[in-house]
Formats: sequence, structure tokens, C-alpha cells
Amino acid sequence: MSQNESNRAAAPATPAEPVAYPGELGDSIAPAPTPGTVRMRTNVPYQLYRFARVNMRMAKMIRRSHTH
Amino acid sequence: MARVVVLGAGISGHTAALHLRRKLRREHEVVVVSPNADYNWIPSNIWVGVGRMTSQQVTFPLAPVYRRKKIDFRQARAVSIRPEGTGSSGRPTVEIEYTLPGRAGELEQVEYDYLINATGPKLNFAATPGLGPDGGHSLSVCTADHAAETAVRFAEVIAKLEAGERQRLVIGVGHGMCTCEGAAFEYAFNVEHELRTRGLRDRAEVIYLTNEHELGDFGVGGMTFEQNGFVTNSQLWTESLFRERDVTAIVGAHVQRVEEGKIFYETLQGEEGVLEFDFAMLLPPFKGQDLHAFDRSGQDITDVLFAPNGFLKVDADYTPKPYEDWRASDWPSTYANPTYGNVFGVGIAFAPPHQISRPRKTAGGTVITPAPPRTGMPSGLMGRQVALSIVDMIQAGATAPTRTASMSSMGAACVASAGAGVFKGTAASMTMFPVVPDRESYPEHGRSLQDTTGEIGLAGHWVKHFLHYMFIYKAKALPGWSLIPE
Repeated sequence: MSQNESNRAAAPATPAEPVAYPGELGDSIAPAPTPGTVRMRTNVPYQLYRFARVNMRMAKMIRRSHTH
Repeated sequence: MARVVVLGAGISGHTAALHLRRKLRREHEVVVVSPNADYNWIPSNIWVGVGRMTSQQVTFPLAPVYRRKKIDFRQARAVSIRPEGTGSSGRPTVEIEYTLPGRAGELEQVEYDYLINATGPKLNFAATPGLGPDGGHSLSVCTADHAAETAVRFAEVIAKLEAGERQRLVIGVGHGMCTCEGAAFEYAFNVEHELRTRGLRDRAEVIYLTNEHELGDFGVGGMTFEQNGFVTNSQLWTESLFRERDVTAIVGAHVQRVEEGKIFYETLQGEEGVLEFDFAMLLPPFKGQDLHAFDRSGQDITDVLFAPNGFLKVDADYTPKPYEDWRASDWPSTYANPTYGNVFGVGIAFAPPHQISRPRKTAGGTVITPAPPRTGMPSGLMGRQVALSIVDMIQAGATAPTRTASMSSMGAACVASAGAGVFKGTAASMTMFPVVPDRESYPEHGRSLQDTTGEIGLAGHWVKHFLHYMFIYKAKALPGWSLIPE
């Protein structure tokens, strides 16, 4: 995980800042989304389609869980 | 005539009470005992905590709903249970203490034929010195009032940022054995979203402090799903979001104490850290309510009804066993107490047999493992199924519960908000089946790959917003409420 050093350096009274906080997740190998992917996450026509899909998926899950 | 007493009016208890009243003939009584006057749709508290909603938008008074549905509502907290009755009467009773203004402190014995314990969690801020808004140094979004207070403090942070100051915001969990990491995740990303949309993000450092061994665990041991032709997992997926939004994550952490502006914590690796903060929202660990139980002679039998953590023992396999030997069948299905079959525990109030995530502790012995979540959809389903079992036992002559709702055979739909806004909001929409991994049915991943999914987008925000209104409509028992699934 990248750390915003400028933010950290300016954070309240924290003399002798460590390189990383204990337990801090290091550089992640997780893929970062492309600008296009991020844009599509709020693209209204595409998200209307996803809204229908998510609802269908959840309806299936709910139906399956209500059958006992 | 039979009387069913429901302790608690949260998602599980309220759902149970409404279904009981819907199905039971009028000669039978349904009594709800809750110390709170209002119902709280807790999943939306995170939006109260950032100032997007008011506490009035996530709560409503219970009394008018129960009056309309002819449910006997007593605003009181349960104190003790006598499942064998008292010396003079063999009918079981629960002792309650009124919290209703005008009757506060008044004790009453309420007889029951069936009892549902849906008292939810006791917010155990005391487990970590200095934790919590009441006398502590951190904030919470666990109740609508806590969330409203947090919103005020968040507005102060925004004002400081707008004045050019830098601020460090720490959001997460305040103990190594907390649950509800999903709520902490939601609040962290809603805060981040609010700061970004106001153009203040570059002056704020947002840190997520969690007891999860890795991001994306969410107390359910993480999830595996198929995406774009690959099998991936919730760890990579969640880390990707942290990377994209530049939120720092501290994982595997147990908060030892909180002081003014400082969090002292240790990690699974044995390191100790001090985190200075300007704003900290840390969820507390949960324990059961302080309920006691007595037999007919007055002997304390609390340990017969309750596990040491205060949660009600149900039909689970509580035999201590190593992680490798955990089975889906360890989890309860009917939620009946094995000793007193007319006492049930649902929602957070039932004692789980063990965690879902792999248990871990430090070399010094500090346990740092998420407790299993049992809120939301599973909680509502348990309430419904137990209510229908009781209806069958009262009206159809069933001698044992007829319905089941094991978390190892039910799925869950979870929508974790990552920022509000009709056109700019996003949320992570996840489904998993089953909630508790079943390695016998799904040897490879423990869950169905087809039914375990996740995606991030505006659609998820719409779904979460829609669910807010739909479930408040359902909880108000307005026309057609029972057609809305749990």
C-alpha cells in the first residue's frame, strides 16, 4: 500500500516518523483500476444495467436462503 | 392461550415479533420487551456519521407500530430468566426492568410459554480502556445517537481542513476480537468520499485500523469469486480499493488503550505502535447482555443458558476443536436452547460455536481474530424461521422446531457503501453462499463460486439506498410488508 508521505509528515505532533506504521500493509500487488474502469463505476447507463444484474443476483440469493 | 415473549426489537427480534403476530391466532399473545423506544435501521448509521442523513431518518418509534399490530410492547430491559418458573408456579418467567419514562426502574415478572432472546450485543467499550464516546476518546456509529455525535465531530474536522489544517482520521475496530469490520470499512470509505468530493483529501490522512489478518476478510474468512475469467479473492479486490483511494491499512491489530489523541495497539507480528489522531471512529467488541438465569429453587443456572461471553447457547456444537476440524454442521439450525427447548436465541444474541475466520494470536497470547458477523439478512432470517417454528409448535402440535436457518446453508447479500451520492456514490455489492464455508459441499473454496460475487459501482449505492427505504417500510409493518424478504 502506498503511503502519502506528505500527509503523514504534516500530521499532528509525530516526531521521528517511522517508515511505516507497525502492522501497516506494505506495497500491495492488488491491481489498480484503470481510469476507464473507475469512470464506468459511475457511468449511469452502464450502472443501470449493473443495478438490474445486482438485483437479480441478490434475488436469487434471497430465494435460495428462504427455502428451509 | 400461549404467550410468546420476544426480548429485543432489532432486526431479528422485530422480524420475529411481526411474523408471530401475522401467523398466530388472536387468542395467543406476542409480547416485545425492548429498552429502546425507537427502531434503528443500523446499516444506515454510517450515513448519519458523515452527515448525509439525520438520526430521525434511520429511526422510528416502535410503540405506534406495535399498537397497530396488536403486539404488547413493554419498554424495558430483561434482567433475568426463570425457565422453570418460580417456587409457586411452574410457568417460566422473565424479569424485566422498565426504562419507559414514568416507570423507569419498576420491576415486573412476565410469564411466557416461548421466549426468543434477540437482545443483540452489549457494546463492550469497557474491554479497551479509553474506547468509546461515553467517557472515552473515540467515536462510534453503533447507535443513531453515537452516529449523530460522530457527524458533529466530523464536521469539525472538515472545518479545520477547510481552514488549511491537516488532519489524521483513524477508522476501524477498537479491539482484537471485534466483529462488523464491514461497517468500519463502509464508514472509512464514506469519510474518504466526503473529503474527496469537498476537495480536501490532500490535507487528510485516512487510516483503516483492523483486526483482520488481511483486508477483505470481513470476519467471514474472506471470499473467493470469479471475475473476468479469473478466480480472485476479496483480499485483492479490497486492497485494490485501498490502493485506488490511498487509504492506509493497518491489519492484524489489537487496540490496547485509547488516550486523548493517541491509540496504543499491538499487532499479530508482535509489534507495538502508537497512532496519533485528530478523529477516531473505532467500533467496540460485542458481548451478550448481562442476563442471569435461575432454576425453580433460585439456584443460578446462568451457565446452563448462556456461554461465558453472555450469548445464549443454542443447538450448535460447542466442543472446542482446532480450525482444521471446524465443520459447517457445527453451526446451529433451529436456535433452540438444548436444555430449555422453548427458549431461542437469534441474531447476535446466539452463541456461535467458533469464529469463521482462522483464529490467530500473538506470541504473547493476545487473540486477534474477527468474531463472526451475524447481522443483517442472516439475522432477519433467523428471526423469521424461529417465529414460524414457534407458530407450528403452538398451533400445529409440533413437538420440536420445524424450521431451520443455519448460516452454513444460507447466503447473504451485503452492500458496503463506499461513498454516498445519487450520481457519484459507489458501493461494494457482495453475495456469498453460504455465509459459513462448507468444505464438504464446496471442497475447493468453501462456498459456491457461482453464488459468491462482488462488484463496485454506483449501482451498489442505489441498491443500498433502496434497501434503506424498503427495510424501514417493512419494519413499520406497512401494507405488504411480509412480501418483502428478510
